[in-house]
Amino acid sequence: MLKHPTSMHADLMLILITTAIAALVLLIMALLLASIVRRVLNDRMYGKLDALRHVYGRRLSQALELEGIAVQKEAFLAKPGSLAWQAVEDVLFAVVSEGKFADKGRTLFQKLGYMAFYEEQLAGRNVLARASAIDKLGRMRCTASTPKLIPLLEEGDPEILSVTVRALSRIGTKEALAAIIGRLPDILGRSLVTRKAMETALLNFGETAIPYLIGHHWERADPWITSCILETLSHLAPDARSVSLAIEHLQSPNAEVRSKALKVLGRADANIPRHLDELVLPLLEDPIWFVRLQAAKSAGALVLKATARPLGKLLFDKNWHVRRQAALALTGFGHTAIDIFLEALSASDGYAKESICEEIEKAGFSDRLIANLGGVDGPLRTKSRDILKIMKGLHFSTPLIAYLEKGDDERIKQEIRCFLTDERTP
Amino acid sequence: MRTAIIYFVIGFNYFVGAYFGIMNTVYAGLLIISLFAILRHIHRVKYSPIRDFRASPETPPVSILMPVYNEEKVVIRSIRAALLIDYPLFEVILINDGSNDGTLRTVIDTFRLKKIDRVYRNFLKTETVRGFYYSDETPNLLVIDKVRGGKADALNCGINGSLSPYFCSVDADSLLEKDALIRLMTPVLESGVPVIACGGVVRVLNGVQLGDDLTIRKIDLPDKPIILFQIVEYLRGFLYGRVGWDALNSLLIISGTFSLFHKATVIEAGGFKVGNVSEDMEVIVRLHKVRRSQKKPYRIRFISDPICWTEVPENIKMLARQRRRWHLGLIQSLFHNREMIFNPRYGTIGMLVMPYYVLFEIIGPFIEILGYIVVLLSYAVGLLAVKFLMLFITLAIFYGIFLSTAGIFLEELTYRRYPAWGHMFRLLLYGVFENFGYRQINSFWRLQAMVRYLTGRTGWEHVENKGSRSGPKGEKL
Repeated sequence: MLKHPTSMHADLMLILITTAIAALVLLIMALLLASIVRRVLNDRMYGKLDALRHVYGRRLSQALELEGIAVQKEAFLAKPGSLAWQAVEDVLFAVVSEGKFADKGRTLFQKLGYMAFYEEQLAGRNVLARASAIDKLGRMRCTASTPKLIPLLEEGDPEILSVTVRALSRIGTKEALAAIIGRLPDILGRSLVTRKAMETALLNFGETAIPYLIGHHWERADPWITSCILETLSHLAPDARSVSLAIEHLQSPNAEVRSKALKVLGRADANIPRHLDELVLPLLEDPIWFVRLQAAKSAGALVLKATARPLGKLLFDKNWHVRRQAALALTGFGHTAIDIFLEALSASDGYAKESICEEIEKAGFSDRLIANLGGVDGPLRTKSRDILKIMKGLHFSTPLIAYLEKGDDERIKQEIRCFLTDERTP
Repeated sequence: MRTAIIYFVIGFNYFVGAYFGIMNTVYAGLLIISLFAILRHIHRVKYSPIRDFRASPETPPVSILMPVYNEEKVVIRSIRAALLIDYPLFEVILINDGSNDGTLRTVIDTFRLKKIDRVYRNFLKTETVRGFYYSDETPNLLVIDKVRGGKADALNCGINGSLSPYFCSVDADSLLEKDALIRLMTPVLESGVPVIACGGVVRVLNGVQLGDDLTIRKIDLPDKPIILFQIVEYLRGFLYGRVGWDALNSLLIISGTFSLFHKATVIEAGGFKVGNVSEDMEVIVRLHKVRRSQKKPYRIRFISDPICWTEVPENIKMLARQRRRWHLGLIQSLFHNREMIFNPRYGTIGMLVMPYYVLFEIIGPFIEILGYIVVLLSYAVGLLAVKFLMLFITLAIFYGIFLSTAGIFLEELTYRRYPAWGHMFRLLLYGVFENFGYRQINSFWRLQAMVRYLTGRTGWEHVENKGSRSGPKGEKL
């Protein structure tokens, strides 16, 4: 912006700045035009697409109700990539996901050439286009695509591999499941991304996966694979075979496997073997904290009475997650837990005592203790009062104050008043 | 003296030329990178397993931390929106940071909370906690009432109270989209490298109509120019600035309005820094510092999905406060961690990103204001060529318009959340208008922040919300 020593210098600067401004103006105009053109095209495209979806949707629902799909197939034929093609695809995806006419939707996908079209794209080079085609084949749930997708499990690209696993899990055929399980070691070992995709995708197979997951010879498998299998089983409906497999792995040298086996057992409900207490007991003393945590969780979920005392010991575990879990598990044991809590709360470990108090309060066990104050069972009343007194001493007195404000039983209120004002409370 | 001024003016001219050139080259580079990154993201989203993640055992529990200070008008709406999000396992922890209005009472009454006792470990030292409130009717809501200590202190308190491996900080004047959290978690679940923090796009809530279920019912543009300027700014800042830096794995800022953090890493880094007026920015710098010092692989991600809507200031006074605070926060964050600048130990963050922020973001307003003074000096010593001055100003203005238009174009290309034709044209128009006054006043506020930093006036400037007009009944905000 200064005066230049020579006119040549000034001219050069002038040309440079003017050129830059002109370039910018052109760029702005180009962006503006591109925005407008894109919006016009999009509006037109989506307007047409919506109309086509509506037309095809109505036509398809009529056809499906009349069961005349084979005859009316021509009414849905469209050029690949065209708007009509996309509209029919969207409509069919909705049909497949709704369930009632899912089979017919899948057949139509096949007959109208969608499956063949996307299968062709599997051989392309563009990762995004391939992944998108794999995903669509999965969403179509056409069992006939399984053989085309299975070879992609050998792919090196984690993205392609993850999408393939997911697509196969959506199709949900036994071949797909067998293929995934057969390649499990490779897929799990490939990368963290594929492992996560696998653990998520296996759940899509639902209960049909159980026999495959259990039937495979996992005895010599990598612990990571076993833990993945057990984790999947723990999210599926409880099954006697899952429980057996979990019991087999309770003694595994790998902590992750032991923990997952316990997780499966924790959901066992009606299929609990009689001797389960004996199996879980040693794991409450496991050297690895997350195994103890899972053991406490499972013992609490199954209310394994024999584990009550060992759970009491875990109230003083060095890991706070374990301490909390043990306290929470014990709150489900009813009166059995009262002695254990009382013992624990008489100890000197302040941290542990606070955890116990918090879990007693959160689980609503404190309400049970307060109710016991008005009961006829003398020893139970005394113990409950002692626990509540200790809790009050540790500043966990809110349930007592709340009862005083809103409770009904005057006798209980009187009792609470007595020890709330008692200076000798520990 | 005159000779000295002449040399200074000439030297400054060359400096400004180089400065302007480098800065705009960086902007242009970021724009190109963002264009490709966003298009790729848009394609990938189509086959993203978000739905599967909702049922996946791999999806970790998250604590949503919502610090509030005198947010009586908006707090219920924000809690309700947070409780409605679609995520398998989450808890909302509201930290009442010593509000002296009816915030706490409103929350207690609305959600019928009762005071509970809770074990509270001060992993990160905070102001005294006065109480915990909980209800088994809404078991995933916990309210912590504490003595006022500022936003960073409140967030640290929430971290202490959180039991999840990840936490997400949310401002009380924001509204989350239902799938916001699962989208934000997606980079964590899809990455082979630990993702320790992740941020997403924040949009302007003013002008948006809400449905009864607190979802966005209709997006409209407000009438106030000051908000329209901010919408253009948000589009520009989020859609190409951060996307570009993210693609280079060099993100230094993710908005505290809605960000996800790995709790253990934040605790390891010492939590949020109390006293910093822009704690979200500072913690990101420190997370980089800790992880790079340990030579541990990590990623800090930004996703370009529009996931969170927030209220922006509606008047000059509040906007000035907000902008001063942001700039002050940037200065504090960088200078508190100044040993990272030009230190090869910290890789691209130390060698490229931090120097860029110091040279172009912090000093930028100073150079700009100095430029105006030099123009006057040039005129005084007879060196000013008015023709060149006008051309230079025109160039700067057109470049500003180009960047704003590019931001709007990226929005048009991708998410198109402003659907009406009128929206696009108004935003384009305000992309032009902002170069005449709005940008300059922004530079002035940033310069003010610099002066405040240098003079030690680094207190938090509170920005009031207009939440009194907000609500779940579809009324315009």
